[in-house]
Amino acid sequence: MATVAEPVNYNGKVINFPLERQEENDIPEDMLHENLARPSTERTKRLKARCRWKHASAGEFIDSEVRAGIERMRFITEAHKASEGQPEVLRRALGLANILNKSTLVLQQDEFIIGYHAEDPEMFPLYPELAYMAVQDYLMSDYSPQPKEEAAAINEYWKPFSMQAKGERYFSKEDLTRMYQVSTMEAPGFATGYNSVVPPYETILQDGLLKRMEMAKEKIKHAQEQMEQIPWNANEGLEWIAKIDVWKSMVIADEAVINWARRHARLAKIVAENFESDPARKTELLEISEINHRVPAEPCKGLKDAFQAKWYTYLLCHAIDRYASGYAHKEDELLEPYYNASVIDKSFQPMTYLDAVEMVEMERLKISEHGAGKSRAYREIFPGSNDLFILTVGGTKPGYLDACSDMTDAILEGARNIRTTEPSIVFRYHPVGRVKTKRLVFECIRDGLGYPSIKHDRFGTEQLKYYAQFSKNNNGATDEEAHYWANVLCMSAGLCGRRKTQKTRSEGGGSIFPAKMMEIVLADGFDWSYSAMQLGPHTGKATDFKTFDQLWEAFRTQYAYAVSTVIRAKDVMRYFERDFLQMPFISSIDDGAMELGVDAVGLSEQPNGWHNPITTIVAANSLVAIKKLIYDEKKYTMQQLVDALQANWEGFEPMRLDFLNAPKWGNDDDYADTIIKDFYEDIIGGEMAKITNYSGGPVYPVGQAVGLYMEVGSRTGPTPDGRFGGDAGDDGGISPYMGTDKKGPTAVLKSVAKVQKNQKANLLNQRLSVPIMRSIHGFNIWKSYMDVWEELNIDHVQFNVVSTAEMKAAQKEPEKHQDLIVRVSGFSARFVDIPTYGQNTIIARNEQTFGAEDFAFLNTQL
Amino acid sequence: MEATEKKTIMHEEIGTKKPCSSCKWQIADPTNPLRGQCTVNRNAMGGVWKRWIADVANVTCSQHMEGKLSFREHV
Repeated sequence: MATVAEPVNYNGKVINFPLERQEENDIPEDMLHENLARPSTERTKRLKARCRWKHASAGEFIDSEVRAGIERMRFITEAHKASEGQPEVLRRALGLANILNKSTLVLQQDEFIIGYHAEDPEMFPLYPELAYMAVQDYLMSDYSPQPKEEAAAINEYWKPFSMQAKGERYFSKEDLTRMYQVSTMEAPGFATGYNSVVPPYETILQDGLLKRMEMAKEKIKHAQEQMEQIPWNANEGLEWIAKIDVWKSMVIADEAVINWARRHARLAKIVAENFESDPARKTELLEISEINHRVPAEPCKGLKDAFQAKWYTYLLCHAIDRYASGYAHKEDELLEPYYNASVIDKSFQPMTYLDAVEMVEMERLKISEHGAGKSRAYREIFPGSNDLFILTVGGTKPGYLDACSDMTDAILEGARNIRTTEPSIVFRYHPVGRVKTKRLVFECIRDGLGYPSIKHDRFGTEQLKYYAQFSKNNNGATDEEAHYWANVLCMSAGLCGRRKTQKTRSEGGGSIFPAKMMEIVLADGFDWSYSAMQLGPHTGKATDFKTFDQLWEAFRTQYAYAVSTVIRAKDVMRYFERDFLQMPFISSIDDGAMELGVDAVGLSEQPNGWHNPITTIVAANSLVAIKKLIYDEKKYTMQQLVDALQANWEGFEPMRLDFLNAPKWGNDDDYADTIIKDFYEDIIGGEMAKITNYSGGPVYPVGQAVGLYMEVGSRTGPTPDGRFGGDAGDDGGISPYMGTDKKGPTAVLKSVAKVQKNQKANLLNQRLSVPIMRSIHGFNIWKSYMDVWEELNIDHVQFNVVSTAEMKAAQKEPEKHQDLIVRVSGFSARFVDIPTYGQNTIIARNEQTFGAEDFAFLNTQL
Repeated sequence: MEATEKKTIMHEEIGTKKPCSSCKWQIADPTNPLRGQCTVNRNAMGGVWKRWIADVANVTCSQHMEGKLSFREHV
């Protein structure tokens, strides 16, 4: 039976917590999540039942049918060979055109939004032009494309042309070996192919591609006229050559995209007229055909148009032209005009609110089925999910006016109903946001989806204005544009809109791992526990550190080396992306690229530099324990600590308990928090801010763990916070280490609020009590928590609302718990698709309940 | 929680008949598929303390076991 929270005495009253939905009293506590899905139509129920999820864990795909396709790699290679000698940007456009012209089309039963990026819905494409090691890994796996010999020959062909070959030349073998291990540093993009992008969806929905092609043709005409001016001026005239090539590449790409969409239209028509026996589906297929003939060639006029055009753009930017993780867009504001046309005005593609909710559910299932041909590292670090598909809603318009709308509500309601792990949702929280929408946000969280994660609206908006000052062409975000942002991946705000969006990962993304750095700082930069090699600079023997400051500075040296190396790798990648990995389709839909005749990958107007420190709290808690027990109290010597760590604490249990019980982050403890605040602001943020990246701006930390807190934990030996070798790292970016936040939810907020300087974003992972959240007071308590969180200027928070009983039941009988979703860190996952190691880290998180002191601090009205 | 339960001392043995590449406990390196990781070391929480393997064809140890791990058993 369901558990009901114990009464609390608060403000002279006894507060009881009966469940809000009485019928839940009869649902066993360990089966709750299996009773929460409610697809809004029979169609979405069927689509969910047959969805081909492509979840990966520990480097493996969960579904044994999933594998790599060969069509994309075959067609891009064919085009590359045929276009030898042509300008590189045109070769890229011709490569895309060859893929789109020849690829097998996929049209599935019940779908309304159509299109896929491989020849079979169980497949995903590969990218030999990026990283040959990533393709080699697939060739050696159970997911190899077939015929394998052809795939191997294609990979061999691309080796000298690949981003990996180009990038590797500018790093020592030593640095490459260190980065490729992913223990102190994430491997560079040129060795993995991992990428992020924010497509300018707005232009394709608003303009349509025929208009974009006309714009490019006008630009070419103008450029040619300029070149023909008499007298000839080489200073100006020669600059047109590269621009003409870029505009030509846009025309080639857009024409191919239109033809590809119209092939889908013809397919739908052929099926309708020749094969479909159900009259209703036949009518629907003819409507699909009409839509796909019209968009994305022409501007969208209704909500069905908008979902379809958006989907094609997504496939092209994230999977076909090149792989990129994410699903970054401000979906509610992007779709609102089309929602208004279809649902409010009923002027085009008329429908009801519930029809719009069904469209949302169908789109979520398309994303859930989408496959990413990502490298092994990225099949490890998002366990239980497909990829980082994350969209953003809520927030404010210029003047800090509420941006929530009925489209926002439809998106949230669809997500709550259909219950899928992806796409995740970010909600931008601001006091002016309407309560009706916040209630739906709460319901998604309460039902255990783990999303929306919450971002501080003002924080993100002001941050983008700050970065604008570093714009290389003095055209950074205006105040108005700064309000229109979405998370690029899990955590970091980035501009959306018609121009200035992030096109590649050199701008932001990528990780470094302070826990492992803490380990090697105590061994002169040597990694004795994982790779048995020198992993960083020689910073001296720990036993020679006479003061805490010497240890502090040694850490700074290790950190500064790692962060400069990884950001250099990103910028070297960008350098070659600019010249060899142009994206003509994205350029065609970016107003800046169109105006300037510069490929979107090379063009940078709005800097937005960040990098992700992951496992910072393990390092920070370790520093606190060392300061207290070795330098302040002198209870132990550094030699004793080094000996204990080398023994993985075996034979040193009383000493380990002392280090484990030293003050820890997240308890509003001044001793710990003073050191840790300095650690974040002086070293983690301070050293990163000294860097200038490709876009001319500084780089700031975005602390977030994804599943890397597990991977890095498994590659990190014992640490002075009392952790054993192989135990996971901390699961957030600024979250307390699992199980060490013992003074309640508001103490966590007070600790986290102390870190403000030199930070871009920091992930706060909290697990809330199921009986409290599902009680009649759940929403009031959550909202009062959120309002205080907002006032404290905390950047982010995300929640798990799932019971230990249910997670343990799922470990025993996974087949009965397919709908159990949990928040890992920055993404949500199907619990039973996570390795046992990872499941245990989620169970070990403190389930925060609320007492009278918490209610008083939050000023909760009960 | 107790510390590691199993221990392994990997060593180079050129031409070994029991290389890490065929061992149940070996998984690929996250970036370079020609290198590997040993996952045999565990602690009571299920923590997997990995070791990097520079040459999966010519390194072995006393824990060698043929087979393949399920994703649930490592990380």
